[in-house]
Amino acid sequence: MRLSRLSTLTATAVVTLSLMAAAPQPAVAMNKKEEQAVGTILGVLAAAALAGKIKKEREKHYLNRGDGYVEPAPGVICYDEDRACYRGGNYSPRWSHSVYGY
Amino acid sequence: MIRTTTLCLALFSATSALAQDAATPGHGQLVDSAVSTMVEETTGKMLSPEQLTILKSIAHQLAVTTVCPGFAVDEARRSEELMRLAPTGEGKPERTPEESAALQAVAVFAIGAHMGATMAVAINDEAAFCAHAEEERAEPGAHLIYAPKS
Repeated sequence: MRLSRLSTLTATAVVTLSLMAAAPQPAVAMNKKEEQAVGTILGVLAAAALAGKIKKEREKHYLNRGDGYVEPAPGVICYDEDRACYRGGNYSPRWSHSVYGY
Repeated sequence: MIRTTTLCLALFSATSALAQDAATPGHGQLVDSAVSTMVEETTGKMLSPEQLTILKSIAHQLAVTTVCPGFAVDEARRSEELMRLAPTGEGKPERTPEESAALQAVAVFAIGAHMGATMAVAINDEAAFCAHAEEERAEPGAHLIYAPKS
């Protein structure tokens, strides 16, 4: 439960931060209904953008797996383009540093 | 309140759809990679590849200390890692207060985005996520900010 709540809050923060970074401030004041409508649209757009990016990543890693990766140890795979290593599907700070040096 | 709930629902509707592919190897990796791309695009050229990697590493470990029991941050190590973001001293570039503030802002954004995504992925299999973190902590190596296991 603790994790659920924290994840919800953090996911909210991520979306909010993304929107703060991407969306311009409204030039005119909106009423509550208008705000909700804008919030809905922005939320759906943000989710759709993230889903689109994940689809692209899937294609990059699983459909077009080229020479840009190394497997420094059993169960560890590192992608040069992302400068990131994963062990058992989880990001590995240790292996990323070990392979890419920072 | 309603707006916040709507945003949460929108995000989770996306992640739920993705969760249907949970059997696909590397689901968490795909999310992680997508967020990395988003952070890189959003912050433009403000952060170098090295800085992006350092921030991602810090964020991942902060997520671990939030999700996994028995993990804590070693404050001295965290400070060392943050210092690597903006090294100072002889031969290092001088930064204006405005440049430092801008760097801090994008760093907070990057850590928040990575941390949130990591926690959202962790919820799919908390035990495996924490077991992996335990492996990482147990092996000798540099640049981890975990406090030693007590």
